[in-house]
Amino acid sequence: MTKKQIFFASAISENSVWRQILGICSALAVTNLMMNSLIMGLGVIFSLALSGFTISLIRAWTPRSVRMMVQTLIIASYVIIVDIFLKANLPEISKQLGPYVGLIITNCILMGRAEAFASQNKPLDSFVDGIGAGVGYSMVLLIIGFIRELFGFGSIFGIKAMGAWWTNWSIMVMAPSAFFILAMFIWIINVKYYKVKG
Amino acid sequence: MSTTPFKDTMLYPILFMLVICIVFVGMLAVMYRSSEGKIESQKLDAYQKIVISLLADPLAEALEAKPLILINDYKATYESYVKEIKISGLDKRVFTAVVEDSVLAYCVDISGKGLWGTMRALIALSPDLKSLKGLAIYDQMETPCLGARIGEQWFLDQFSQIQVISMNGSTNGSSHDFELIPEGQKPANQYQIQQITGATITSVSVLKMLKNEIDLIYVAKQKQVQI
Repeated sequence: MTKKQIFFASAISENSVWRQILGICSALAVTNLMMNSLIMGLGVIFSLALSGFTISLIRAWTPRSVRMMVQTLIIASYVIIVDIFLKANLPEISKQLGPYVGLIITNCILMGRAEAFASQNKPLDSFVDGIGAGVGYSMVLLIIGFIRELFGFGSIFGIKAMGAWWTNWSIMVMAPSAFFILAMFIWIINVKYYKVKG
Repeated sequence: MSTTPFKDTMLYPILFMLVICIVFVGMLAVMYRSSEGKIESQKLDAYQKIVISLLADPLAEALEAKPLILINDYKATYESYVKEIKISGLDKRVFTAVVEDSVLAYCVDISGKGLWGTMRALIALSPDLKSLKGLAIYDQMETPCLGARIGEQWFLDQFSQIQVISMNGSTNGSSHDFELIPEGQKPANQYQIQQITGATITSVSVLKMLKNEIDLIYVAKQKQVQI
């Protein structure tokens, strides 16, 4: 597979969220604002790409018996780096994202890509796969974030998009709205893209 | 004599894990140490900005300046007009806004129990400590999008210019009780506070924290004056 094929496979056709139903918790939790979704997405892209690269780099020396511990340690290290970077440089966003940045460690997409791809492929391919999976995840977050912020706050990336006549929908600010939007989104993708009949 | 390759021995995974731990924990330690100063300075900046935001109105009045200018230049304002003091018997950070030796307002760091953990806030009080001039919650662990909305400006704005202790407040000072009303309902008086919909426990916790802490502050200050 070429690098381009790897990227599009992990970002689109085998998208972690709508195809593999992974990373749902954070997709529901941080998508009330688009800026939060974007920063979360960037954090996941960074952690996925570098953890994939590192896990792949040491795969020949990693004993099978401790491989999952090694993967978790590497993933956790990169996620903590993201957390420290946000605290030092973007404190407002770090405060808004709260515990969710730390929870990237438990995001199934990272362990999924580490186990399914990085531990069996070359470092550069794993790096591209990580970026692809991260971009696919961020795309879903931004789409849900767009709908929730627009209807919940009447804004896009904090910029007012609706007029004074607009009444914010409280349900869009709360996590249940993300459930409905994500479910409808997956349904549309399944019907239109994968041609699933049911 | 059979020779097992080192990679297949019991020792190899242990040593491998140890090396990986040393490398990554070392990398994190370096990263944290190099950012520690910046993180602390960001925290201090944010804290000072909140103190100045709460004390901006009385300072602006005394200095005949606009509050927004003082807030924007919060570092210089803090250094020039804010002093941290100690009230005996009160284990809290207390700040005063002082212009020409005259105390314009107090700002006190308070805390209370929320739904999931401790809430920390700063309150501004009048020089006689009987009026609540403002509230800012700077640290809380409440439910995102529900209890965490106590940080929203409309909620905090309800706690300004409230006579919390009656003018003839006695030394055992007990502050006025607040009353919660549904979100969106117009308050009939300054003691009626619109609660956060879906976060009653958090809303009650804020009121409880305010009442308990204001009582403590007032009593401690009264005792200090008597001594």
